[in-house]
Amino acid sequence: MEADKTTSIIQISELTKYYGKKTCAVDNLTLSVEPKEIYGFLGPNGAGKTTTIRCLLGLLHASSGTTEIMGHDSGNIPPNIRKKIGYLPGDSFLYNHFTGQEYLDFYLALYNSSNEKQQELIDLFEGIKLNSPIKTLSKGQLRMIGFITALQHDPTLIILDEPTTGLDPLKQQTVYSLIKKERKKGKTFFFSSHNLSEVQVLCDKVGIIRNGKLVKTETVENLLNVRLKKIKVIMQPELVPSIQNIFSKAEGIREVRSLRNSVEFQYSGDYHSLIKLLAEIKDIYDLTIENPSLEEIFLKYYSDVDPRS
Amino acid sequence: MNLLNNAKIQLMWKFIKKDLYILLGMFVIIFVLIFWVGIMFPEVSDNGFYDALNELLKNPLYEFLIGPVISITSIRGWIALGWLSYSWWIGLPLGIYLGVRILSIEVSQGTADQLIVTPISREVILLSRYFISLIELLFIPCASTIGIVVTFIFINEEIPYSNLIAVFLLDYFFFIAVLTITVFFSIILIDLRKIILIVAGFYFVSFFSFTFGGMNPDFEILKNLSIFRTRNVVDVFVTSVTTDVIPNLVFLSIFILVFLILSYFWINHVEIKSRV
Repeated sequence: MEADKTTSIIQISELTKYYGKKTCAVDNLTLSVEPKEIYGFLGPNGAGKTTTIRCLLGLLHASSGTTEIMGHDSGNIPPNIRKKIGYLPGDSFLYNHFTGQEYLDFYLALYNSSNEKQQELIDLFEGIKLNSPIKTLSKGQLRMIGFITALQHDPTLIILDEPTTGLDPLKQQTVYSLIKKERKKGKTFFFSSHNLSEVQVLCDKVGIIRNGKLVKTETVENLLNVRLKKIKVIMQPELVPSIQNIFSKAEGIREVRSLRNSVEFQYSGDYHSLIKLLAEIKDIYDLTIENPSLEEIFLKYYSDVDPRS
Repeated sequence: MNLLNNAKIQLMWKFIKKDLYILLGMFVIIFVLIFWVGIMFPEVSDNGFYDALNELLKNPLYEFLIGPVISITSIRGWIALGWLSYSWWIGLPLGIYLGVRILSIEVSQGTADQLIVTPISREVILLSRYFISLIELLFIPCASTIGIVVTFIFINEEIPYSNLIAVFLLDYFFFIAVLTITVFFSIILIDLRKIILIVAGFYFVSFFSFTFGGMNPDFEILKNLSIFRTRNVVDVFVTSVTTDVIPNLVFLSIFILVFLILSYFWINHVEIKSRV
């Protein structure tokens, strides 16, 4: 999965980040993001997503390993490259004494950009109270201002830390369509999320992080085609307990659940073994085999890596 | 390099805008305070108050406690020893506030993240904000000087212009020194409480070592340990010993430059830790 360093827009190699001497937030993480790609960085709270992003942007220093953006070390990104980066932090802390418009104009001036894109984005996120002081705005409004701040200077690489947090479903859809539209223009997105559906809708590639370790990097397509199936076996109700017992002990079977006249489970082993196992069971009324959702795949990676979860 | 492009002007203006009313308020308060106390002097000095004070100071304990204000027998004495001593206590919190505002307040409020990733380098952010803080600090010695001049005119005292310039410069450089060490420690520590403790501690040790050394000839050496030797400003104002001004300004300038240069080179090593 290693990409050529010269073509990757983001290259993180063996990144390790400790807070203090004992707390390891990111552990030997390696990933790359190619131009025009939408990369979803998936994991629950505290997995190390934000720390990775902050190391990537040079806000934090790596304990070991390297992080590069467009071939430049994160600790030494020149201004002309910084100009091509848009960043939305995980939390919207803005200058309270500004109005929304003042805040946007302030950042536009720092990037020395024209306000064409800004106006386009304001029109898209309709309903932002740009003339009100920031301290009076709701979390959703602040998020939208943060989003415009990240994109208004027309960057080529956009790094978003949980972009849709605090947005209502309608505004979330606006964000999704905006990301898709920008990607068509050649923009690259690297965003963290614990929202699986948005990753499934948006991303080309997904990296799953757990306890600071990247446990899987895969295209969404391949991830969904993983050898994991949801299987439901329908039978006589009185057979359910014994069959459940058999499935619980079988290799490759997890998440066994019994209903009145059926047993459900997830299977990720060899299909011949599964067929053999099912053939031994008499009186099967019906059998359904489904592909799992991304959420179920995500949970599988989590439980595979650490049995405690 | 373009010294003042639009981005830098924005960076500075938006920064000062928030404090404009506070600074104007401080200016008015300082001016009114000097004027109000100043115009009382001719009246107070006529009713024997200072004779009683001088009698009291013969007691060593009282001399120790209020020795520094022994010269308060005239408006000049009050301004030099009374007002200027106290104006430095205004400089301490103001210098600390302006210093921590450059970076550590933003880190603690969570607004630094967005700023640090812009094309504006950390050094430019530091220097732009430092220089705008210098302008803000000017409000205090300006208010003092204007207050003194107006008061002297009002009570028909002769205005000691040459001394006023010296006092103005030393006062201002002292504020800059407080600002600069706060900037330095705020970059090293980021944590607001630690910065305030260290800078205030630094100031108090310095202040008291000078005061104690100044009052006791046996411990004169303590004077030299004091960073804020501008308390010599008192001598400057009262006795016109202007020879102290230049060495003090040179000393303070070196002190300020050293801490500013250290801050300039250290700022790129600062970790902007997440607020949450």
